[in-house]
Amino acid sequence: MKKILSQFRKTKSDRLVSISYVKEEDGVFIYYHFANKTPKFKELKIEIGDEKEVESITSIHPNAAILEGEITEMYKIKFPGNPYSGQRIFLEEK
Amino acid sequence: MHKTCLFPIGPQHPSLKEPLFLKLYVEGTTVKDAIFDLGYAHRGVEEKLEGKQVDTALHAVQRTCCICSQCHTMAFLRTVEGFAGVEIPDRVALQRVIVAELERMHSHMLWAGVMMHELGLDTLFMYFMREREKILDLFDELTGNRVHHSSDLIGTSKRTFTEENLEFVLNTLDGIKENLIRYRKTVDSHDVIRDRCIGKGLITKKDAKTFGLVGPVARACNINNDVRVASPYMGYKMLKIKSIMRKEGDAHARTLVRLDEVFASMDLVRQACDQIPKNSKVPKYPVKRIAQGYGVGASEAPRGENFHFVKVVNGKTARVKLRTPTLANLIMFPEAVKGADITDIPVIVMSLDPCISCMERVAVVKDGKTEVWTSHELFKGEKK
Repeated sequence: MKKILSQFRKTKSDRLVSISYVKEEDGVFIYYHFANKTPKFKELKIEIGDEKEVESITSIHPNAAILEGEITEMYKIKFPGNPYSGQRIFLEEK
Repeated sequence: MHKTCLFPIGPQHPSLKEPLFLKLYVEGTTVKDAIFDLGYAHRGVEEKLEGKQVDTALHAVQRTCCICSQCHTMAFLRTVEGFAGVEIPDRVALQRVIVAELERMHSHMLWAGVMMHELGLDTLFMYFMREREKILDLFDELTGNRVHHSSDLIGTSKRTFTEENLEFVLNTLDGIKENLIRYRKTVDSHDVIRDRCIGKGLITKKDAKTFGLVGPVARACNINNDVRVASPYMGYKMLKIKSIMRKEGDAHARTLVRLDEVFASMDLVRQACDQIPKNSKVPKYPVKRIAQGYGVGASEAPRGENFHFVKVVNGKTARVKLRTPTLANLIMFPEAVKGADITDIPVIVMSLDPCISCMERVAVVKDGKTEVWTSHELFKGEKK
């Protein structure tokens, strides 16, 4: 499992806006965007490589639950510790 | 002692205007737990947007939602124009704001009408819908389209709003203002509305902050996440914006925030019409072809912050991520209905103003025919 939580401690006072899964030429990344009092979004880019499990940030940002759950559903990346991880959200039941 | 049992509402139900399956676990008539089951309008716009020319992607993005078409356009354009360094003239910036604010008015009036219908006040529903119809006429006049406005392009707009167009807008707004003031007074003082809304669907300021709520739902809890104020974009940089805030955090506060925002939007449209440079025209298309880059941007939709992530590689979109405001607010929906009486559920759900199809990123219209993908086709990434 990819350990990422320590990088997010400093974002505790920010508002999590979005989590985006992006496949690029040089690897697979997850972009985290945060809003604070400045006009621009703060960005954290995490390379996950071939990892299929990434640490959930719901303990710091509870609203990550659905955003991470959506990535699990669409791209099969699991977020252990996320209450929505593995749940059906948007896609039809198999 | 009551036994907990499942009370299903939806996915097709008269109290819901969009497909949503509410699984309510009730004891007697009190809701103990709730699950919002989604996916009935999911068509995978993000998948469809991959590998498209940026102009084509814009065409699809504009059709993500039928209520807030312009705010998706603005978030997408803000993002791509931002990373491509495209400067837009004041006329284009203000024209976009006029359409966006009219959109906010029509969205809130539609919502107010449906909310009144849920409360059993069908006369007010018809009054709100009558006034909203006049805003749709304005879209027709300004953009040529009543629902999907599709009025903007990268760096420019499709039409130049004439003096006559703007005069028509201002006269129409003058015409509906008096009626809207009357409806606002009625909503604030009506005993049925107060009894059924005050203290219902309560969201505390702390919860709103913890769960990162956006839009009027957050503003009714005294949290201002208004993108127009926090990071002004396009024509909003030139206007004086008044954020409507309340402290109560209940269904009544959310109702009044939205109704007051209609008047605030009316004021913004007036300011924008006054400031549009006279005798100017929108630039000719294309202004710039976008080949490479990535960026993020947000616009303030009627329901709150609408966030777009766009990555363009070799002139085509490699990834477009849309985070709609309802997706941001969704996490609080089960909390808002817990402890409520089952008869209040339609009112509480409506007061949160969910836009289900927008959240599930729904319709893609191509060549006049609706293209529908099943999840299996989406997974494979190709249409049979």
